Amino acid sequence: MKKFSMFLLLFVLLCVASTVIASPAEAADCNWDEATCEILDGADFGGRTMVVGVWGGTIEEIYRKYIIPEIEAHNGKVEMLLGGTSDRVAKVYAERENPTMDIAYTNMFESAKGIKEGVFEVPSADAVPAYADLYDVAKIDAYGMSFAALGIAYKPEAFEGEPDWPDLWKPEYKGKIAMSTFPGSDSEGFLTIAGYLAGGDDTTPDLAFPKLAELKPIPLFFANLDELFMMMDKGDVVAAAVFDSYTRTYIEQGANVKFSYPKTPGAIVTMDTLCIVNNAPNRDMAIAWAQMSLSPIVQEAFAREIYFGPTNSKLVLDEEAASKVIYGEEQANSLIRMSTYMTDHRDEIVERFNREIAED
Amino acid sequence: MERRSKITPILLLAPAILIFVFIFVAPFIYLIFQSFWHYETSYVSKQVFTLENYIKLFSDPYYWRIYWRTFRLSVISTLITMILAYPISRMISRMPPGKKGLVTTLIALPMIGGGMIQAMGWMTMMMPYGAINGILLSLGIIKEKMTFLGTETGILIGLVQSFIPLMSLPLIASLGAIDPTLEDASKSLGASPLRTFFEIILPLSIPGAVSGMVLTFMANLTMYVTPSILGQGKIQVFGSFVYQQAISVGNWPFSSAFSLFFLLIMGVTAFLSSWITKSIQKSIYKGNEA
Repeated sequence: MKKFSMFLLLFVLLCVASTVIASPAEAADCNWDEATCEILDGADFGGRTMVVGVWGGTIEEIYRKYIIPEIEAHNGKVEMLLGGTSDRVAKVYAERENPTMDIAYTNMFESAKGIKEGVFEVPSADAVPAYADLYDVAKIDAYGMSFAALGIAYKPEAFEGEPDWPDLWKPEYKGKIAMSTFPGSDSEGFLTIAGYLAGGDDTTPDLAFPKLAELKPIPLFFANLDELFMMMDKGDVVAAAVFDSYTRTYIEQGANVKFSYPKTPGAIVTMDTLCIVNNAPNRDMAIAWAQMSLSPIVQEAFAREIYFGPTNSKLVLDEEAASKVIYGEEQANSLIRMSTYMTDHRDEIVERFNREIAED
Repeated sequence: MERRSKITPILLLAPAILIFVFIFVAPFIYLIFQSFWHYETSYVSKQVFTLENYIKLFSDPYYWRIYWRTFRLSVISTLITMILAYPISRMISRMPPGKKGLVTTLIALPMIGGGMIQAMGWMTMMMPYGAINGILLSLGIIKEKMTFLGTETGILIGLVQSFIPLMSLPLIASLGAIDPTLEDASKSLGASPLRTFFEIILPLSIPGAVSGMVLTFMANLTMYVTPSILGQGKIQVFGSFVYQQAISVGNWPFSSAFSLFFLLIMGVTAFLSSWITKSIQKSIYKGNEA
C-alpha cells in the first residue's frame, strides 16, 4: 500500500512537472508580438476551415509561409480563394445574408463602401489589437494592409531623365502609352491623373475622359506586367501608369524598366485592405488571421519580398529596405489620395471608358 | 403492380429533377425578377419593379453593337470551324478503329486543358513580336508586323482553334456511320469523287454537321475567356460585357436584363437554325429521290 501511494505521488508529481515545463515552452515558442501571442495562446479552432479571399502569387506564398502554419498548429484549416478584388467583393455581396468567406482582401475604396453598406465589420482595436498600431492614414475605413504608389514605369531609352505625368501626353509618345484593363486601381488612378492635368480631379470625368482620349490609340490594355514589359522592351510601348511595388519586383530581377514618382500633380497612393466579413462563420479565426496579417513580422515580409509599404507603425525597416517602399505616414500622406467617387459612380465611369477609350 | 411501375420512373427521376430545379430553374427565375429591379450602387439593388434596365438596353445602340458583334463573330467562327473540321473529320472517320480512337482523342485533347490555357498560348503567339509575326516576317509574307491582339481577327483565330474539336466529334460519328459500300456503289456506277461527295457523303453527314454547328455556334455566342484575353478589353462581346457588368461594375439588374434578352435571341436563333437545317435536309433528300 505504501509502495502504491509512493507510485501514485510520483505519478502526480510527474504530471504536474510536465504541465509546468510545457506551459513556458509553449509561451516561449510564440514568435509573434505580445498581442498576437495573447490571441493565439490556448486557441483551439476545433478543426474548422476558414475561408480567405486574397490575391495569388507572392501574397499567397507569404500567407502560406507565415500565417497558415500557425492556424493549423491551433487545429484550424484555411481555404484560400484566389482572384481579383471584384470577384471577391461580388461574392461577399451575393452571400451577404449567409456568408461563407471570413476574410476578404480588397482595395481601400471597396472596403470603405463595404463597411458603409454593412458587408464588412467596422475595424476596431478591440477586435484586432494590431489596428491600434496602424498609421492613422491606414485606419481610414479599413484595416490597411499595405501602401503602394501609382507612378510611371518607363523604357529608359525613350526618355531623357525621369518622366512626369504631362510628358506622357507629348506628341512623340502618342500611341505608345499603355494602360491596364479597366476598371482597376491602376487605370482608375491614371484616369484621375488625366482629370488633374485637365484642370479637375478624380471627380471630374467630363474633363478626364477627353484628356485621356488624347493618348489614343492605346497600344495595349494589359492584364499583367509581363505583357507590358515585353512590349516595352520591344519599343511598342514606352510608358504606363503602374504601382511601384509590382514594378520594383521586375526592376530587382533585372528588367530594362525604370520607375518614376511623378511630381505634376504627384503620385497616387493606394492601400490594400483586409476586411473581416460581417457575420463571418469563423470570426475567431478571422481575428487571429487579421492580427497576424497586420503584425510587424508579416508586414516586413511584404516589404522585403514584394515591396509593399508597411502600415504598422511598430515596424522599423533598415535604410535599404525603406528606400524601396512607401515607408511611414509622412510619405504616404504626401501622395494624392483619391476619393471614393470612382467606386460610387463605377457604372457610369465604366460605360464611358468602354465607349470613349477602349474602342479604337 | 401496374401502379408501382408508373411510380418507379418518377422516383428514379426525382433526384435529377430536384437538382435541375434548384440549380437551373430557380436561379433563372431569380434572374428574371432581378432584371426588373433598380440598380442603386455596385452590388446593391432595390427590389422595386422597374423597366429601366430594358429601356436602357433597347434605347442605346451601343448594346446592340455588342449583340451584333457577338452574333457576327459567332457565325463567321462557326463557318470557318466547319470548313476546317470537315476534311479532318472525314479523314479520321476512314481510319481503322484503333488509330481512329487515338486520333480522335488527340483532337479532343486541347479541350481538356480548357479555354484559358489555349487563349494564353495564342496571346503569346499573337504578340507583336510573337511566333505568328515572326514566322510571317521571316518568310517575307508580310513587311511589317500585324496586330492580332485587341482585334476581331485575333479573337476569331482563337475561337476557331478552340472549337474545332467540338465540331469534329459529331462529324466523325456521322461520317463514320456512312456505309462504305454506298461510296463503292456510287463509284461503280460511274459517279466522279466530287459527285459522290455531294450526292452521297454530304447529305448523309448533315445530321452530324448540324449538331456540330449548333454546338459550336452556341459555344461561340457565350464565349468569355477567348474574347477577354485576345480582345484585350478593346472588343466587347456578350460574355465579356456581362462579366464586366456583373462582377466589375456590380450592376446585377442590368446584367440580368442584358443576359435574358440575349438568351431570347439564342433561343430564336437555335429554333431558326434547326428549321433551316431540316428544310435543307428535306430538299436534299427530295432532290436525291427525284
